[in-house]
Amino acid sequence: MDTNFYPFHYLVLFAILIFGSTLFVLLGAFPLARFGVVLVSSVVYILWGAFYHSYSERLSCSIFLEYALLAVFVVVLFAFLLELV
Amino acid sequence: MKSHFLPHPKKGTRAKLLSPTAFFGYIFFVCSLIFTTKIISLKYPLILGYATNVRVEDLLEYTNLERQQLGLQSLKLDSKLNNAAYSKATDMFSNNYWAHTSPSGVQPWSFIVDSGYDYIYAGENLARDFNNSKSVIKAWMNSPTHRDNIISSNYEQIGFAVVNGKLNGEETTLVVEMFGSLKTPDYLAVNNVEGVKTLIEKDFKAIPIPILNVKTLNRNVSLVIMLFVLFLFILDGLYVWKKGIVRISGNTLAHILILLIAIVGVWYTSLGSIL
Repeated sequence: MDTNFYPFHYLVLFAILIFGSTLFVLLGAFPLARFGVVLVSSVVYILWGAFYHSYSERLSCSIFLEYALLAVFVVVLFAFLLELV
Repeated sequence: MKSHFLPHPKKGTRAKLLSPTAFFGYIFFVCSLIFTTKIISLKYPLILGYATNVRVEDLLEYTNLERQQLGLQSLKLDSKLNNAAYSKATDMFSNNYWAHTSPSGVQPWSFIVDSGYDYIYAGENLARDFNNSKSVIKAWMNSPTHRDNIISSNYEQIGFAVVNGKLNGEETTLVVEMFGSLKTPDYLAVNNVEGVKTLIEKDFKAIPIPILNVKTLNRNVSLVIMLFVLFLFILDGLYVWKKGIVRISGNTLAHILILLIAIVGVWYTSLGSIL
């Protein structure tokens, strides 16, 4: 259970992801640029996680790894989907 | 088995299927899939390929159905407009653009004139990455400007091209629909079943349809994997909340949020676009 709930942090994350999604839609004809958006959004997600947990003084290597692995998972899936390999 | 899907109530760890090891496994699985599908699509394009099920005869039929519902005359398939549409599609592939006007300023009308069609009225609809003919016409009918072309009483003839190729590095199926009416009447355009069939055989090379479409396969596999992981995170969040477990881990709500948005993104890539 998350005992530290910071609505503003969630709002920031939501805004970042919505901005990324909008760019993703607008760049419909450019798969490489789309992938760039996914990559940048994923890096921002990791940074958000690191900031969120360091703010509540709970950041650890395992937590950082959790964010990083989820971000890599999303990036790899989009590379597969957008056929960039 | 329970520990694979639910978090440990005492250790404060996530379900085994959400552990770092499991994530390494998912990433490895997706990477393997990328290479497997690539190799199969290169070696056996008739098993796993890129052609979609968009067919000229269906496009003509659905276009005319829309017109008939409004009491308009059916459009006749015209060989010159077919050639103009094909030239436009190949021009988009060779000059790498997706627009009505080419980067060098060539207008759609140039292709129509070059094909020998002396028009009084002309129009163009474009579509890409649709899986079937019905969804192409549906998307055009939902767009006021494209709809205007389909149901315009100014047009008498129609031509199509369905061409596969690479646009901005992406395997794409382009659909070009050209409308027109001639300054002087021409009786070569056809709209009877036999005439259409003969003209299609003459104007279009049959595109072999693979057993599996790479794009559909990739999209469905991505969706299944993402939905599975999302389900596990929701289960994890609900279990921890219900049991009142206090643990130090990543933020489940944030993970759910990024996965939900990614799923919407995956779903969005399955939609074709029109111009």
